[in-house]
Amino acid sequence: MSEVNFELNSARAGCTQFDVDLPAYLEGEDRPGIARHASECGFCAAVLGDLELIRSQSHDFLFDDPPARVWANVRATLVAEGFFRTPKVGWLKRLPSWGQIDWVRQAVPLGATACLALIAAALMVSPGSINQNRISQSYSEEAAVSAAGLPLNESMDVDPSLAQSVSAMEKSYREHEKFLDPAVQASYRKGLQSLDDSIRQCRDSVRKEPTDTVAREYLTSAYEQKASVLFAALEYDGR
Amino acid sequence: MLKLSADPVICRKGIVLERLVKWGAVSLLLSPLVIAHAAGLLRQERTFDTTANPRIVLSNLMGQVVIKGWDRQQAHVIYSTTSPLVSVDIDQLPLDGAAEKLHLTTRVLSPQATGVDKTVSYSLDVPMDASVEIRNNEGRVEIEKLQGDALLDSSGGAISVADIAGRVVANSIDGSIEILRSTGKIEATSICGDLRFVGAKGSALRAQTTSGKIVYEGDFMADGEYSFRNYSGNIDLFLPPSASFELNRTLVRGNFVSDIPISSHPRRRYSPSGPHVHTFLGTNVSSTAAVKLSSYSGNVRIHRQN
Repeated sequence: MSEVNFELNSARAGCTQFDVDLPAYLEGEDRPGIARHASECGFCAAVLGDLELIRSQSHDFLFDDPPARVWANVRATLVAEGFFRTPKVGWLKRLPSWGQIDWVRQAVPLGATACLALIAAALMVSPGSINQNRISQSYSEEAAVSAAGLPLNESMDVDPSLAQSVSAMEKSYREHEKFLDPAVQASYRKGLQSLDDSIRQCRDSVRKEPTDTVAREYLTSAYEQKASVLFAALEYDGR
Repeated sequence: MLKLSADPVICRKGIVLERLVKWGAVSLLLSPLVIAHAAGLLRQERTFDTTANPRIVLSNLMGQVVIKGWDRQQAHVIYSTTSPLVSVDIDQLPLDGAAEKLHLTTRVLSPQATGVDKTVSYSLDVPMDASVEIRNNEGRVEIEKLQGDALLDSSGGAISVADIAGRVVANSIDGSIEILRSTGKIEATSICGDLRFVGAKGSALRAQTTSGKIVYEGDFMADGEYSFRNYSGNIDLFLPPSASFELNRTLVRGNFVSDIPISSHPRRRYSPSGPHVHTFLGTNVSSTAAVKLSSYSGNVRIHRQN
């Protein structure tokens, strides 16, 4: 019994030391104990493996710059939200009271940003690793409608995370659309219609011929563009 | 001038009449200003001292935006509003001295403002080395003669850029994009808008639209990289017979026609696959510029430029 306790305590001590050394090891410092302990402890080996995977994928992410439009939209949102503005006079008067803040409309750009971040993250991860890492996914009934108006299970020709994000953004857009000026609304509608047409045609092609890499490429591109257009529409508040 | 009579009564009437005419004339002259003021039409003009290469950021909702480079270290801003329901905020950084950054923002003061009320037109003269960042949702954007970068964004308005030495990034949903004689890198993206490039001299050009047309006129730069991609619109390249380039094209349903002979050679790169995908790799003269053409259902034609 005492031997068992000794081994358990020894293992715990090893895990504790592993936890202490891990940050430095991931920063590139020499920590031979990490590899040694990982070879002995299955749990810590799994943790190390996951962290290594995240590190390698985040490394790729840094080199894969998002489109300029994304930065432009993020910047425009920040400008619109007043982050870059320097108040000249009467700044106190510009502060809205609690009652004046339109929480719903403030939340829309933030929600859109979050959706775009999800899309970016989804695109950084290869489909293979998604399949490996996915344990289970449950979609709400509301989100189970794709951007092109089809049930989500019929839009699996693209990364489901991308399709789901676009679908969520489109739902927000439908609620937000009434705030747009008619001319702006017409531009967005025309653009979205054009993208939906291309999504529909490419999806049909992919279904007929799953090896059609060009159609699949165009399909993914159309979804990405649609996300970009929806993001721009959601951040527009007519100010 | 009225002819006055010797009769005092008639003379007095004449003087009154003359005064009435004068005041009437003055009223007529001033009436446009009064009407303009009543209608909320307002033209403002301001000048800012700037550094040699300031950054100009303009965010507008509707109306025309024209920006031209000039040889002064000043930014001259003229803007016209059509309603008192909108205002224009201009902030400079730093607050004192020559401005390094200038932010111009159209603000809607009332939720009652409609599309017409939100219209503000801008005309700016800025230092040649300035870089600009323009967001104009509806309305034409024109940029001319700048050495700095231009980042342009529009929903339905057309974008026209001429004689820019810096990098040009233009995005639109439904508006056309035209870029003339640009010497920097170009990225133009639209959903429904047409894209047109004339006399581009930069080392890289990337054009993408979903249903718009793409037109390129001019030669390719040595070692330049060009990418033209759309979904359903046509792509037309007008090239001189001496154009030197390596062509990599991918068409699915569209046709390809070239007035310039292009010799094919064995594929060396990744080849996309599909039942109707037609890919081709070939060169004209030599392979100095890399040209990539992709269209799903649009036609591509290379025209011989005279």
